[in-house]
Amino acid sequence: MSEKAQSTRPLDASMTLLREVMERPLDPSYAAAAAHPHPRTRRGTALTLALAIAAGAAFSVSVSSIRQPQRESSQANNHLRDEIQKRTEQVEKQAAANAALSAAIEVTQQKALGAGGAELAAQAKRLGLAAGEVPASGPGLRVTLDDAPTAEDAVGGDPRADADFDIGVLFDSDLQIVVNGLWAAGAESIAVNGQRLTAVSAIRSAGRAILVDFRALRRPYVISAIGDPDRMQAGFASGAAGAYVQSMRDNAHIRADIATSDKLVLPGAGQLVLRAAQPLETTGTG
Amino acid sequence: MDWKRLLRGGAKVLPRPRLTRAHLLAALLLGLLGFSLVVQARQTQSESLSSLSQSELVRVLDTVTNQSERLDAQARDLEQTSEELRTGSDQAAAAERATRARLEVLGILAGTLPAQGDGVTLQIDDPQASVDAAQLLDTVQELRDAGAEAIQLGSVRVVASTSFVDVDTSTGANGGVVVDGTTVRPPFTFTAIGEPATLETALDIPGGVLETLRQDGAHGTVRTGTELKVTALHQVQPPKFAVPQSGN
Amino acid sequence: MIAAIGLLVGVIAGLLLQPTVPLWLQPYLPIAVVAALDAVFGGLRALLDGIFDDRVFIVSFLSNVVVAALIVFLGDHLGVGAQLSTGVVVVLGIRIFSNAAAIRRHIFKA
Repeated sequence: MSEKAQSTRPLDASMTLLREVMERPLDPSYAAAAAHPHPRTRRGTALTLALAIAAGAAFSVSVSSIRQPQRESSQANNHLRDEIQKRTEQVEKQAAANAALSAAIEVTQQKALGAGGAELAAQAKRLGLAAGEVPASGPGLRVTLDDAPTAEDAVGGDPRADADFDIGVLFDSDLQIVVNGLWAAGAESIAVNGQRLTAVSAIRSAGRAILVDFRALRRPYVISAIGDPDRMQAGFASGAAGAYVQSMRDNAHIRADIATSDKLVLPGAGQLVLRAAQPLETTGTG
Repeated sequence: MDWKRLLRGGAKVLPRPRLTRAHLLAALLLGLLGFSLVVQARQTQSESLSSLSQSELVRVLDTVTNQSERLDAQARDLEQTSEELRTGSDQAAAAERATRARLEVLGILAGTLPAQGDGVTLQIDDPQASVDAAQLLDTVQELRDAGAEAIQLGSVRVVASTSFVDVDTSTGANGGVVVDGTTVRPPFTFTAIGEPATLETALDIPGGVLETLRQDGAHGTVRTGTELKVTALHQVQPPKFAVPQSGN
Repeated sequence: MIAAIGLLVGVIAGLLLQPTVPLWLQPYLPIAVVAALDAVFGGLRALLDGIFDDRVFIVSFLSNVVVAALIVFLGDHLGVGAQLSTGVVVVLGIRIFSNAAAIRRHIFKA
């Protein structure tokens, strides 16, 4: 042990690379030039000046050229983003208020209808379930989809220039196909990330964001479908959607997980309002 | 390593709390750091809008505005119903009226009632049989996104649960798409009730339905109309697995 | 000093003239800029240490940029482009930080 204490080698002698980088960041040429100053010739000075100007020009040109893509974040875009943020918050608040009022009304209506209106109330509940307004629970299938792991850290790529920038990213068409496959396999109710699908629910994309019912979803995308778990799983796998998910897995490394569940609880879409469609007036003698 | 000495020394290292300006400044900076860490972490979790181009941002703003309008209409409707229930002398009758009104809306949504209103018709001619289930599915999504409230394709009512499956050509059948069990063949005729101008514009956007059809060799014609009728009905099967819950 | 003045003149000239960079050069620009920054910080520190020399500054500036670009070029052709450029950026970053710390000590005595 005493030999070790007497050793003159510093403990980090083997880490020359790191030591070099951290302890000597300053080019040793400076110290050498200071110790042995070289004769200044006019030619040398002129060359230095010329090179310096060229270097400075190249530097500023490079910086301004790299900065091009950022010009897109102009005033207009920032305004748009702020507006979207504000309106989304408003929408969330209004949606919550509507849901609360809707629930309160339903309770009052149930009580007010009484025994006479029980049949009406039951009919409303049945149709409400089919239309997606009324929450539902039951066994079924849960499909979880997420972008490929590599798509998350595509750092430094230019979204508008790279053709492969979007490989491994899920878009609205992918979710549409999966949902369509579940309906075809016998699903009775479907919700995506807690958004119940109704006859007026649209699955669309804006850039990389997927919106269901105008609400942007956060990954991973969880599609819950109530129905016969085994029949749906078999039907989905053997249909076009199953093949599509498999090819997404194989080619684009999309993460997909399909699992049965004994109890799924899907929220309702609440009382929807139709502004353009009205029931058809039958002008017959009936 | 002399752990005991380290532990004993550690107690001495902790300074007694003394408020000097430097301490306060350091505390403030650490607080700011902690705050910005949390804010940043929450930012990265949410969908980032910063990667979207201007036209994409405009689309997102449009959809959020649409959603806002729908929710406002819903709020007005709910307020009215609530008002009627509160002030009506005959609560049972008011509740019955409200429920009947709801049944009409639900019927249109579920496809059990025919509907009428302004909207558009979209006729797709497909001479090369290139239109498949995915294209029809995308068309329906575009129509819904533009506010279509009742949609009919050929003789089939399109509702939430409507599925589109390509006809299995291996069995020797000609092309076509099976929509909710019924085979539909070109030309495909969509009738959609909603805001006619919005529907027409949505179908004609660059990269939209009409353009995609043209690229595939098909041809779509959009016509706006008033008093369009969606008469096809959808039979609602009583659910075998889904159980309705009350409240939201 | 001549070199520093020349550099400044060049920067202004570049900003005023705004020539477009040819497409094949574009991928090397980011790392070249970081390498240039490293040389600039080194020069600043040398200045404050009292051992600044024009020639050394220009040579270090140009060689940093060329070597960094060469490494990226090599990396792209070997297929390890991203990793090599990450390594270069890490090293340059550490050097910039060390020089900046020394500069800070000179200026703020802190």
